[in-house]
Amino acid sequence: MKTSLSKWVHEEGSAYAFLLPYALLFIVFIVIPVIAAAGLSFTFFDAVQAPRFVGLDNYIALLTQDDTFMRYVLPNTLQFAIIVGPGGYALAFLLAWMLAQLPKIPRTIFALILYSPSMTAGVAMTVVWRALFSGDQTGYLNSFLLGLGLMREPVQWLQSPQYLMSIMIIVTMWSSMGIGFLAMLAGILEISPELYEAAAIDGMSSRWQEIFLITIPSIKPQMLFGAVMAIVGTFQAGAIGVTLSGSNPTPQYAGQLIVNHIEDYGFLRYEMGYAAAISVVLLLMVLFFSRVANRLFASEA
Amino acid sequence: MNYNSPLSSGSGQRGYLFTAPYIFNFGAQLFSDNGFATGLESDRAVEAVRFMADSFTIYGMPLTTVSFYEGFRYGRLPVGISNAETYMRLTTAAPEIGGLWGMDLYPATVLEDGTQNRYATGSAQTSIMFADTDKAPEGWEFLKWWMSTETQTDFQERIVLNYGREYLWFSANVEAFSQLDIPQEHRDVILQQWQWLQEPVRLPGSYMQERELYNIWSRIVFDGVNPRVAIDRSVTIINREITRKMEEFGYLRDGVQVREFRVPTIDLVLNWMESADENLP
Repeated sequence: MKTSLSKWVHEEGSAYAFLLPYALLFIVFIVIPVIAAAGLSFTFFDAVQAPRFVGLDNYIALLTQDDTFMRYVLPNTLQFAIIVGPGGYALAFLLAWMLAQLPKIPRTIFALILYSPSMTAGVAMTVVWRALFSGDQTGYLNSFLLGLGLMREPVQWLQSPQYLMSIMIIVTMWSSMGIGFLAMLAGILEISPELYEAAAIDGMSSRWQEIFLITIPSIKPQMLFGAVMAIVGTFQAGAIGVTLSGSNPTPQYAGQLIVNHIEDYGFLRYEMGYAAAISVVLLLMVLFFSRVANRLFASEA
Repeated sequence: MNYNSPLSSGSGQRGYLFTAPYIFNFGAQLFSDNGFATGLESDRAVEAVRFMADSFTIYGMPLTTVSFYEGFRYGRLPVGISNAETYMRLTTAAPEIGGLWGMDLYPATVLEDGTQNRYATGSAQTSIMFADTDKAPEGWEFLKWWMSTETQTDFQERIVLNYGREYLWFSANVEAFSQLDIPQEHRDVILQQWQWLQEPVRLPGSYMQERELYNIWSRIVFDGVNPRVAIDRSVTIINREITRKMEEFGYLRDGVQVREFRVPTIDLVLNWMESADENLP
């Protein structure tokens, strides 16, 4: 008995010891919260009294009674995710590919410029975007259009339900050159030039063919990483509509995304159990789309 | 019309702070008498909502004023309703227009029977004591000391003496406020307006009414929906939320009222204050 334990420690213990720091952090910050949220989603919890077990009531209410969710939040989230996800992803790849054609110094400078929006989004939001789209006659865009005589009164870009979503999409696309973009750029630079030369000798006729037959297949892991980051990013994006319009809920729920809905129930109405149920649904959605991305980009090796 | 109304100075969802005065001034109630339904269905409320929207759709008030203070300084918005913060900014940071402007009461809504209502919201901090405290006498003594005219006057004077006029602080104690060092004509106006202070009551589920009241306005102004249609749609949503919350707090069971719910109206609060001495333990 003792010998087998010491033998195990000797043979495999060090592997577990190396794993320990990461495993501990992962369990404390990811696994336990996820399990706690899943557990809470079966309860009624108002953050004051102890949670009360209600079974599947929260999920049933979400599917059958939550008018706002079905009518605004879900369509908004899907519209936002379908445009911003693939759109931002394609943009990230395109820009990464274009940057890869540049010499080193300008490439670094441009990469930094393109990456900075995703770091400074919060500050830029108030300084640039809210000032640009302000509904006042002194807002930049309104002032410009009024000056040109194209309209007679200021447009409420951020308050009016018909514009809010489009502006959210534009601003998010602008800041979508994140970590996925950097990974793709690094991947493209790693591709050996011999591949292109060999292809040229074999009769490659255009840059277009080069992208689809060599560049993308060669950076499949980075493409997968970028795709997963894009999916998670777009489903998690919630602050944008609230920051732009100035409140949660957004006017007429026009820019209400699933994350805002969770915050609405969790931190405005203090129905934590229900909020947990929505976040579990969000988790499942992200998981599903990540699986799809995996299917598309997983390397066969 | 270059006029700043509170409704245009908010951003995003505009709460009761901006919308409720319209309801009060048209003599409408936010809730039904027993508190189990919204009061927005009444004709007066519809009238109020219509006026709230017409100000912008017909009379062309600006829908957004990012800074009334700036607009006022440069003469872009020569008139408007604003709060104590704007007053402070104008008195301390805009000396170039000092003495060129004045203050008056909140614009009155004149009803058909000739009543003039000037209700405005005014929420700030308050002090509470919990019933199950074991230091009730001490707590009560402290509150009496802190709320007394003497302490409040002293406090508001000291803040200005120590930090300057930018830190002007308005006491909620009327007697202390009357001794505040601001021009007589401003003080008189504020004291008169004080009589017209009314805060919306917060009932279970009332947050839904707060956001729907704004959504009604938004639907009328931005989507051109007829006021009554816009209200009808929201009334269903509000009532459903009130019912849900009332069930949760145990006032309703399966749609039947099991406990009485008392809506704290202005009259009820005044009543409490008058009979306060009798109710002392």
